[in-house]
Amino acid sequence: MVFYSLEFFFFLPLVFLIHYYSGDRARRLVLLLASICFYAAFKLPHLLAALALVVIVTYAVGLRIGPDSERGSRKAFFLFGICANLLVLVAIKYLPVIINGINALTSLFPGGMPLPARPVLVSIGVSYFVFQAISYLIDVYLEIQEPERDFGEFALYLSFFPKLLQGPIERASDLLPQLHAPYEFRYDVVRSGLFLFTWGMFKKLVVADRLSQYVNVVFDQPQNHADLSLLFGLIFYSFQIYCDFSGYSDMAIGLARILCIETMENFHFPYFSRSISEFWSRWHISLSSWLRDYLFLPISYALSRKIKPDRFLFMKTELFIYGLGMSVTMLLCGLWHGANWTFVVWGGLHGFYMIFSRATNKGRSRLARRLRLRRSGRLWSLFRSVFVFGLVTLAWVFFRSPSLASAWSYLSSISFKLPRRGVGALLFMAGLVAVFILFEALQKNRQALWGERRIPVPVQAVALAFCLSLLILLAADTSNEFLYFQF
Amino acid sequence: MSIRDALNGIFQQVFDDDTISIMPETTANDIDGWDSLSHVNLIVAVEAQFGIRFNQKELLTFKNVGDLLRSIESKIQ
Repeated sequence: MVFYSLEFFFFLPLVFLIHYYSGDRARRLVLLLASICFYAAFKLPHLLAALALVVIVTYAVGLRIGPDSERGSRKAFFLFGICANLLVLVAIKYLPVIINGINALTSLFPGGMPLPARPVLVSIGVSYFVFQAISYLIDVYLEIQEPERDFGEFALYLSFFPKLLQGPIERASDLLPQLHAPYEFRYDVVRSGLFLFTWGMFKKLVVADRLSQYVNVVFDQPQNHADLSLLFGLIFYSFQIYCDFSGYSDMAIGLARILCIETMENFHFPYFSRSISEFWSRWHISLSSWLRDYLFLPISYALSRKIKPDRFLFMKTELFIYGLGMSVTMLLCGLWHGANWTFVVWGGLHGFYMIFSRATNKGRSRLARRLRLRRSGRLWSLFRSVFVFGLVTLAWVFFRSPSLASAWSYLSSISFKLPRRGVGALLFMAGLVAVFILFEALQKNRQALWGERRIPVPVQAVALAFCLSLLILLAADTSNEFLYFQF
Repeated sequence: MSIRDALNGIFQQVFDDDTISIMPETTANDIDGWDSLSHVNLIVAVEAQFGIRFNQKELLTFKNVGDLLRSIESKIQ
């Protein structure tokens, strides 16, 4: 079920009312059943089976690797739990591609027996709950988190419907205590949740889906639009993917708040970032912090303790460690999005940006001092933000294109000729993006806008009415699925 | 020299800033350049200076300088 479908608009009030009038124990059961119905509405039994398997295995393994368990078997159970989760992910998301790859290799040799091809399965939500399960197992194994003994609450932690399909990838230490706590209706929280849900829907249905109409045309046939349309198409795609994904996240966080549960922030105005590492601390925060804690940092610690000399492989050891840790992390980040070379190149490009930025940091500072450039002030910040946006936008070409060849075809077709067709559509989309940037700048401190007292209630009411009116007037006729469902 | 003074020296060296003066409540948001890699450098420098080793649990749960100080104190006593 998607958040903007007709059935969801009946589902949500019903769940809220039953949840509101239930006792604490029954309330958690209501949320669990609602989450199962929400996922079952896709009518894809393999998804429910995958969720059930991940819940059961992770719960059982969690109990066996707690602090009181026997030391010798802890590690074996922990590794089993991690492998079982990864197998579920691979079986649903990557198996067809792996089989195709093996068949391509065996076809090079005479007499090679091809493996039977597997259909590509829809994997909505799987990457998200598998990553959440893995983080739970690691935290329990490291004794950061107590194993959850209540099966129902553990199942709810992994399947809680607001964040089931596209995150945020919640940590057990943040969500489980809230599920245990007695329910308390908090008017401010519910109201801010409704505001956030509406704002997320506005971002998705008005901005992202409108922009997609332009973006799809230019990306489908770039050679027919070999002028400035391609450059604008690319910029519009940057805003489309941001509004699509962060719109979903806002709706998810808003929904959780309607049920008086706080989930982590997933986007913090990433296009205002002044460096590429700042971008990654603001974009898809629940995934980037997961990758940092469970991949980048362990790799970096292990290497730092092993490599003692100041220089290694003709470079500073520090840079070597950063480069290796970041390359592995960003390539896996790309692969997490899908088994396609386009995602690998996208991740690799971001890894390269980060490493290049780190390698040249001191040199750039020296150059700026020599040229007596003033590296502070609003103009400098704006320049840096625009530059980072340009780098991120360039990488999106690979993310959006179905193949490396089509990405290259798009980039090589960009020219600075004025477009002769579709100028009206281009101006409309540019206006939409300009208004959206203004909205973003205004609410950079989100609390200021959605909190209760800082902005007068009438102004909030007008803002809400404005969003709802635009939703009715401007929402695209045929809505696309959320882009991040496919990951 | 107290543990806190020694730790302050490591901070100044890692972040290349002689003006740093750490407090127990100091976090990554308070010091320019305290990102994930400089955090790794800081931890490795602390381990080398005090001859100790932090485990993964400690590394994932340090929230501020106070947590780091307490952990060092418990290990060298």
